[in-house]
Amino acid sequence: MGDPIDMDANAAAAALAEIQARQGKVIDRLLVPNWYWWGVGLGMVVLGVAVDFGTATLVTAAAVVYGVGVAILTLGLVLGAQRGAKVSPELLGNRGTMAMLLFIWGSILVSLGTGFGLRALGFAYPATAATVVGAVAMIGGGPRLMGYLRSVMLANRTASAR
Amino acid sequence: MSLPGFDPVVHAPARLGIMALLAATEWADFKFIRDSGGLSDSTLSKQLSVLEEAGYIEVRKGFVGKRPRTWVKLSASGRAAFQAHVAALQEIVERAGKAVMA
Repeated sequence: MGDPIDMDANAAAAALAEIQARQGKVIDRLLVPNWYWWGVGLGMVVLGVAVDFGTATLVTAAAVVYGVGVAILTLGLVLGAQRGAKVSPELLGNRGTMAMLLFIWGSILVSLGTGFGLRALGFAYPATAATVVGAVAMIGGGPRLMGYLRSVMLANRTASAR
Repeated sequence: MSLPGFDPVVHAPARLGIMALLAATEWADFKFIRDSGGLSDSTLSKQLSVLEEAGYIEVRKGFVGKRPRTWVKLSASGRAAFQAHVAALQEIVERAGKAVMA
């Protein structure tokens, strides 16, 4: 193996495949699982229902539980992803970072726009409708975002960079 | 014929796996590298020593609570060597592809 002349293309391809597999495993640690998006989305709908149908106390309690729950969940995933190794932020790059920001802000703006728009139109349950829209964006878009980020990180890893 | 960038120190299977993992991270700890690569403690220690002697990795030892921990990161020269080695492997594959097509 030490002499490049002895290295055939199959062995080189196998080595490249091994590199890609190793780095793919590291990248997968960063990706948020699907159940996270379901949890965040469904919790959001519960909050919206509380706003439309509940008392002020219930709304406050739901908002606190939701906020704390999402924070704990997110923190747990972030810390879990960094246990044992810290994935290089260079893998995400500007495209990945922009995609995440666009998704987060896009989901928030669509939800708020729906809520305020429906309220202005006199719709009886604007918060519920807005959070359903937000939940659909999370549940439908979250896994797609993860798929996109995975492809970006795979493209940015060393084995692909030439 | 020689391939610039092809590095026997990097290419040994266990070390190639370690370098690939480290190239995708800012740092990784000993246990993570060991478990990811399915290596024994002694094998990993030996391979890390080779890479450290070559100047390709930086090893830091410390404690988390009372537990000893070892963190490893790719050095700048290690990253450059790894990238050059990957480029050399890709060159081998591409040359073979061209030869088949010719």
